[in-house]
Amino acid sequence: MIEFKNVGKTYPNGVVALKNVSLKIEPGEFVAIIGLSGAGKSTLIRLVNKMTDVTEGSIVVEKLNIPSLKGKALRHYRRKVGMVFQSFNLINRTSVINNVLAARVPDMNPISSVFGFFSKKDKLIALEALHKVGILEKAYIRADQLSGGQQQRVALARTLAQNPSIILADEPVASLDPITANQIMSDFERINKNENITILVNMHHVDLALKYAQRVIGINEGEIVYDGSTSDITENLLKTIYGRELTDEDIMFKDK
Amino acid sequence: MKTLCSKISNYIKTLIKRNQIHRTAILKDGTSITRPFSYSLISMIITLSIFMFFWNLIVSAFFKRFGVGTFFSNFSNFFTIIKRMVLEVNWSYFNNVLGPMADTIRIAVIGTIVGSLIAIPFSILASQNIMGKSKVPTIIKFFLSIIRTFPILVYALILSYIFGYGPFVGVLATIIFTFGIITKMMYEIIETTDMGAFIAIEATGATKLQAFSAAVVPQIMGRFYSIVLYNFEINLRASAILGFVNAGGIGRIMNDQMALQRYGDVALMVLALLFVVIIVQNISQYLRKRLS
Repeated sequence: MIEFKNVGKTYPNGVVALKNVSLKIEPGEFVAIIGLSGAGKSTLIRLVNKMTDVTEGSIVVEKLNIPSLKGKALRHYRRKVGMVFQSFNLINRTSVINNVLAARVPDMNPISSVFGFFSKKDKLIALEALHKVGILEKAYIRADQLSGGQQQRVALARTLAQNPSIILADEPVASLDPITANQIMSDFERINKNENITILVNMHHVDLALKYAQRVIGINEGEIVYDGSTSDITENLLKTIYGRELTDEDIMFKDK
Repeated sequence: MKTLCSKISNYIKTLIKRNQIHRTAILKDGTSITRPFSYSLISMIITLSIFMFFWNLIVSAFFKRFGVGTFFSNFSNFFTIIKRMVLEVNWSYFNNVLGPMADTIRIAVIGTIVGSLIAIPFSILASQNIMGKSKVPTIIKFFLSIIRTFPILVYALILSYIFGYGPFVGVLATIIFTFGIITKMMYEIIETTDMGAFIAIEATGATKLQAFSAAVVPQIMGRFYSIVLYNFEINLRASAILGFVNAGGIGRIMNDQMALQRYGDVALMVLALLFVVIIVQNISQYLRKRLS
């Protein structure tokens, strides 16, 4: 369970990213966070694994007080929280399987982790993860030779290889074409159902969020303006979240 | 005194304020934006004036003593020595060259390998993007710039006072020189690599060292080898003259034979050196092309 209590975040340059945010996310939920760019979506997600730190309030995940985590405890906690990025963040000059194996590094002994000696067991975990996202046959190809969608799948496999209980995804489909975006979102949906992993995903595209998530959190200028089931959302609510009429940019499949 | 200081600082402040008008742009609807004050012009002027000062002090005095005339009047000696070297190549001296030549190559090989191995941890510690907000990179960069101030011959000279004469001193000097250059080149490469992968691996709960070796090393490995090879070329050429300060290698006997005016022997050494340098350069260029 993830719990935010009156969380506020002000960046050192004075930008207020989040104001008094409180929310609860149960294990196994698939939550989409929607809002304009600059609304605070990325900040909210990055607070969960302490990639950025809160300035007010507290965050509790599985009875752990996240803002106070440091060093070894923080690294141990991060093992259970996977992260997927908009720009994939793969290691370019190396093979797909090495990219996935990189997620096993924290569990290895220091010497073999520095020299990249992976055990047979770790290699099997990596291959299984690639199989789950359907690109097992690409395992020994260099990561930078894959298409955008395939690269995002490698990133997803890397996250799965660390055996997480929560996956955070920061605009995972924003730099993909509509069809690939749909495939990646259904990968997330399948992983959420089959592995029972909590998924928190940042989205700009309303239609994809409504299609795949069970719950939507709408953010406008750092404040939660909607938090509820996907089915209850209305045209009017979307207007309050986005602060304006929806435009073509907010929808991935324009003709629908 | 105090009033003078405050007068000057006030004057500077008014100058900056007056300058602000030039830095402010006003758009059609009345909104204005001011470009922050930049000290780059001032620092450029200061650097230039310091440079001019030293130019006057050192360089012009040097030319006065050296005398451009000397260059022309003694130029003919150049051809005399070259002619003697070409005509009197002493092939029988070959056996005496082999040992020192091997020493020269050994100095370059050992110096390059040890120097670049030491450079690895320091180039990581000197990279601000890996070390976060730590002050360590600034400190290391400062010491690196001091190390790179001195040429390899100066190190050889200083070390020969401490450890006596011989190839060991040459190796030590080469290690220090290689360390200075490779650390500098490597931290510049590390600081410009794509940090996305590093952040992603750190987010899986890895330590900085683990994330570095998993995400950054594959991206920079090729360039590291290429830098080491290039440095080996430089070191080989440098270790040929290390002998002039008694730090072992071919330079030592070259110095001796020059002093004895045996230009035939010197000519053979130059040929041997040319041969080795060309071979090493070609191999290293081929390997570097393959790596990039």
